[in-house]
Amino acid sequence: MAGKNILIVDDAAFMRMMIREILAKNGYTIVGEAENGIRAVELFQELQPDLVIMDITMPEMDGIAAVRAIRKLDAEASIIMCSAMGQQALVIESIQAGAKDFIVKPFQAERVIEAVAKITG
Amino acid sequence: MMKEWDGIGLQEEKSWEVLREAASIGTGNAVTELYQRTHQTIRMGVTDVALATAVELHEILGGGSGRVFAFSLHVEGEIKGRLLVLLGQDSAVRLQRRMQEQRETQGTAVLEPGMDALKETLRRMSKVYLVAVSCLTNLKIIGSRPALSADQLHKVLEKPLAGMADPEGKVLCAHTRVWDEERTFEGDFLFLPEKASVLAMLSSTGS
Repeated sequence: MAGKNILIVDDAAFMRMMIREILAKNGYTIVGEAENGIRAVELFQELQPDLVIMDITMPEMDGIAAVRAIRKLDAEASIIMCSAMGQQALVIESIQAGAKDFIVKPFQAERVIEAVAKITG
Repeated sequence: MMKEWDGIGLQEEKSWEVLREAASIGTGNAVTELYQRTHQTIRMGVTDVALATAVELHEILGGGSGRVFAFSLHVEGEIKGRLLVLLGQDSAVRLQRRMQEQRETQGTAVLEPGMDALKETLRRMSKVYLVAVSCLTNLKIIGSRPALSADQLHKVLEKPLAGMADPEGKVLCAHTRVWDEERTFEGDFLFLPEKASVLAMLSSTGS
């Protein structure tokens, strides 16, 4: 549902920009952006977003470790993983860590919106 | 710190970030292809982008004087350059064995024994890499007929690097290391775009 607050986590500013544009066009509010897992956990605590879109391969702390840390803070946190690695084992690892969906890069805007809408309902 | 990059109107950090992400997405998709063929989970590191001399590139790739298998192809179309997949001898042998075991497990005949199985796997991975970069950038890319060579690292780099270096002897490279969970398999993806192609990538991604 549009109007929901979303935190975008990706080490590439240009990728964050792409996701931000897709979400903003569809009425979502981007409350923050983080470039690594550590910053993502900090911003999650500070901003309490409705949803986090999280890359996996990042410096400092990777996305799966960040999902685990966020879910320790909030067991109900909604997180979508967004990664170039679509290996089944990594998808399962992400879901087990607490992610609710998995988007493979490069993505289509429709796929991002479909996943976000499904979770933010 | 933002700075003009070699007088071709690019801001270094922005340009490198687009290249870094394209290489990262290409590698991620390529290792997913490998996973589908071997059912072995492959991890990948953060992609590094650098302007490097041949000597520096050798260091980036871990140096050493052991035998390396290099699968290289020309990238043509709206992005021009080279793509290399590098495997140490042990990793190449293990990957080759894994491919054959997989075929035997699936009950299919070993139609591509030995080197051919390895070549086919690397060819598929390279193709998937380029398709992913093409999808991200909306630029048409064609991979040339690939070549597989085996020699010391500095020797397998010689040919692909020929003609690519700038007046300071440097090439632009995006390097991503991949490995399996037990570290019995390690490899390197090396994308060497011509600098002018990065302009096209920047423009097409709206950066």
